[in-house]
Amino acid sequence: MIRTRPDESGERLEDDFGQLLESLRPDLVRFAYWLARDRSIAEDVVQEAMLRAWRARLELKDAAAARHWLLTIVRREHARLYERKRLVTVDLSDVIAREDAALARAGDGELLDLRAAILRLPDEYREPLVMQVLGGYSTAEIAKEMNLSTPAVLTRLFRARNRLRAIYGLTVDADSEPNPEANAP
Amino acid sequence: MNCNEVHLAIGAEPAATSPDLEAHLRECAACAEYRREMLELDAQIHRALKIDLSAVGENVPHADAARSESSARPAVRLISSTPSPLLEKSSWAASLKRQWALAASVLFAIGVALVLWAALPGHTLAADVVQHVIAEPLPADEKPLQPEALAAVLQNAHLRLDPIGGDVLFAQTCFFRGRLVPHFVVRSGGAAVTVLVLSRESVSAPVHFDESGYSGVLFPNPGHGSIAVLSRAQVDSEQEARHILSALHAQPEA
Repeated sequence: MIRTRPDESGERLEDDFGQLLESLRPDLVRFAYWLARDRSIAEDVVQEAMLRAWRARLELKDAAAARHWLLTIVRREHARLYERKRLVTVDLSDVIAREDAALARAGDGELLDLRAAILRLPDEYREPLVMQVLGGYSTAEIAKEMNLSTPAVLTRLFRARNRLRAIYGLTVDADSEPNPEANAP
Repeated sequence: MNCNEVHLAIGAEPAATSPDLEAHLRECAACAEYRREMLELDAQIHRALKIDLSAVGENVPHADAARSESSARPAVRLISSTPSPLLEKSSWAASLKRQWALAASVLFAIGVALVLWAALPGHTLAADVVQHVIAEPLPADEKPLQPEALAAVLQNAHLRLDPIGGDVLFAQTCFFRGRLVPHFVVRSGGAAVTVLVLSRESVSAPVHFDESGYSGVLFPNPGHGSIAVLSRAQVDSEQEARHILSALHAQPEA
């Protein structure tokens, strides 16, 4: 039988951190979902990310920064998962067909086309867009995370939105905009 | 800034602003309109991304079914524009009565739910355990791990397990209900038996469960939470739990 008991103040801190993780979990899964386009992969990524976060919990000095810190861990874990497992590419038509009804029900049905269009965006456009709009990352932060130049990120964000404009019948700019990506890595 | 540069800046960050950008927008109606559209689009993108995850990945009724169900209902409800005072009073009384009836029904339902909840201690915990185990399938080859792998997982939780016989098929630290918990699988008498050490989940007495093809027990570890022991095969989970607890020891933290 277990006989000893860990230090209580440490337990309280661990409890607080555990609660913080749980409270942010829906945001993390949502973020991972838009990166992975698959609910079960998103759950796996978040599970791994939470384990990493738990191990590194002492590195988090400011609770207010927790969300951003955790989103970054989720993004890195997602990238790592693809490097490690070389996941089979998600078949987008399958994803959209499978998720259609669910996506339509998840809030406003009017957003179904937009959600499907976001799912169809290439990874290099979807990822910075999700990081910016959902994650609240600045352009500079996205550039640092994705190992790109800031102009390259601006171009990708522009192109992502430009493609989504078509959903609303708005005029789409040609992709021949000034290309600051020329100097991008 | 020229129009191309402004489009790029707004398309990348619709809410961003700068003196140069604002100066251009004051002079260029087309770019000002472009920004208005992009801000609206961004609000829509934000709404689209804020998806309700509970709906994703579930089997939901097809939209056509929902439409046909709603079409069976009357599209509009006819209301007299000048209701008689008598009708108004009786409607009010009926409405009040309905509200009381609704409140009583809600209270009754809450009462029933509380009684059921109290009568089934640990049920939710058991369901969570089973759900977690289903989400962590065993490797297909079921090759035994080195005993050191289990020792390392238990060491993370400041625990040690004396030899209990049987191969270790899986050992991992998992995140469960906001805590890190050791999760391992041993082969016992030919059956794979899964164990979760739940030092922060207490049960007052053994709670047996049978869910989603798994049967097992939440077994109390007085003063130190509980352990969950479960298997798909027919095993005496309570006996397994006692056996494992007798071999499980705390290690002082370094």
